[in-house]
Amino acid sequence: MDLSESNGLEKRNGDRIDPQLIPQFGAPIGMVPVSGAGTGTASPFPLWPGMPNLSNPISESFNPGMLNQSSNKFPYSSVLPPGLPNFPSEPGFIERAARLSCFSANAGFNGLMNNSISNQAQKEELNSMNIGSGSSHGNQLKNQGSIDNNSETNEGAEDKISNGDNANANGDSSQNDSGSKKRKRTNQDGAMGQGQASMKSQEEAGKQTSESKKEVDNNGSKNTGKNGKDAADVPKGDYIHVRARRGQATNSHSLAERVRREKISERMKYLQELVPGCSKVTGKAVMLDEIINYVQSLQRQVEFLSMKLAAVNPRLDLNIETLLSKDILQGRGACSSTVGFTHEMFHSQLLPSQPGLLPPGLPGMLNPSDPFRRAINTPLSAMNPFKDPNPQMSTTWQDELHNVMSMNFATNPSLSTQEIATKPSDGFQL
Amino acid sequence: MHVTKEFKKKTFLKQLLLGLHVSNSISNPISIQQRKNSIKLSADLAMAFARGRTHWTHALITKLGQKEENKSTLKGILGRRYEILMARYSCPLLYQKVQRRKKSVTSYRFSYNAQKRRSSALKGSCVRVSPSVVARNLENRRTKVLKRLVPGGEFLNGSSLLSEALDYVISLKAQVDMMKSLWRATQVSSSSNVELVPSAPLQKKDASCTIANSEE
Repeated sequence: MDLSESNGLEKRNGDRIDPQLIPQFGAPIGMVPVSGAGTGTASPFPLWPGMPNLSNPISESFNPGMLNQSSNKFPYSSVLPPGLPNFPSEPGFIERAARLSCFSANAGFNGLMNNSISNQAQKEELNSMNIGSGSSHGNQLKNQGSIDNNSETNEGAEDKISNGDNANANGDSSQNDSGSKKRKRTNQDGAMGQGQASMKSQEEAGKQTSESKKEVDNNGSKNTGKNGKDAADVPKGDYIHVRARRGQATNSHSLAERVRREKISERMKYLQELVPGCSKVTGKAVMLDEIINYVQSLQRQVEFLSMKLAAVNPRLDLNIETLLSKDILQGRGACSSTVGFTHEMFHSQLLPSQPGLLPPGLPGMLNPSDPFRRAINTPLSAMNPFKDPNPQMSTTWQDELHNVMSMNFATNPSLSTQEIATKPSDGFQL
Repeated sequence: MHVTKEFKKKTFLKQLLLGLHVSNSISNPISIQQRKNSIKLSADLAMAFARGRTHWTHALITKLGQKEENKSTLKGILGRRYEILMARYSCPLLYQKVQRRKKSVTSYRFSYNAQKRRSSALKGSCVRVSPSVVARNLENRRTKVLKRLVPGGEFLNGSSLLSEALDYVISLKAQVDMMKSLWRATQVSSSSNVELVPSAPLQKKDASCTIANSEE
């Protein structure tokens, strides 16, 4: 059975759901009838209240996986019955199991997961459950939870270290990291883990280092504490829980490496979507090449366009600039006409134009306004990739444009320059 | 991740025109090169401002600010914030970080070369390099190139580099699109200003439309 991931991470997809892993989760919990292969599904799930609609997908994925299991899985069934009486005795165990089941089941239950584990209490319950069940059957329990999602999102909100990169990472990972759920082994290498964690922490850069290190320490302390429901030990909220998968190295080095690789593969996926023509390409090196080419081409395009604009300018020079700038000036931070036309380019959903904000201006329609209007109109019709013409928008802002243009010819250029100069970059928060 | 693109477009345009104005008012650029540079500067700055606060935007602004010819324009645009920005982001700590990382890279290189030498010594003249090694080598080389491309990328590693690159690509795309539309707007209006036969501007418009369509 091939659970071990490939070394080069190449085939890794973020939203995979390892069907082989699910039965691992299911089996130790003991709710899945081992003997009942096929499609017998009804029995475990009524035991998990509140999750009735999860039954079908979980069952389908459980059973084929179960059938494929090697024989060493079946000892679970023999182990379990003696252990079974232990489970219901834990208060709230069933709810926790239910929650955990939804974590492991599918990436589609993302919303459910994120909703259900959005607070510390549930996280701690998960941890305590892990420890409780871990103590009863050793290292057989491989839970998958999206603790890492929530820890990351929580810390993204609270932690002051976060820069934009981390904020992005958190946003991304909370959506896509459900596939890469891992939990760190709690009882095997507690003591070893601490020593190794300190070594491992030096080789990783960034926040994740401190996170995993803290997490290992925390796990170590939890193991020594042994009480399982100790809320104080549980996640301070800013580290990743990583658990070794079955059949894989449980070295803390490799665990951390795996987390890192998961992150990188996730980012590569995004980039794959973004960079055109990269959907078929797999492999980090080739993807990097494509990205580099794309960035270079975009930069060259910027240069070229600026050259073109520079070439155009001497004829109009300040004409367009003053017009546009006065548009924006009149807009006063609200939606102006040029803004309207740039909206059209990118999004089918447009900001509502606020014609009321534009000063009424002179009522006369001047001739030069017409070609400009046509100029703006043609980009509108030509460049609309979303096939959403939205004629009302263009007509409203044509009117705005008329008003604005009439204003433009009336106002003093030097005054506008002053006003422009005094408007600092409000978009850039320092 | 990029929720409010609308605001960014608006800020971009605003900043772009502001920058153009400032550069025009400060020094009337004569040659086309100068004009192009000022336009590019304003566009880059506008993109950085529109994106907000990320690693690469800071790095970009700092990089732009350190060139002599840009300083006056930047001062005009940023006003009071210029000093703050420059003071904050040109601190020598950054350079030390770079030095440290360079050392680590060279040490890794050294060990890798030593390994290769050892392996070649054992196996005779031909160096058998395993595919993973080749892949890693390629990857490293390309990562270095990417680091050079993305502003501020030299200080980043691995997944953070990739996410910054992602962000940068998106903003670059937006910038290119905005400039394209600006260019089209100027082109059409310029053609109409030339006062040709009434049908001619329409033809020119159609030409630009078709160009646009073929480009997209």
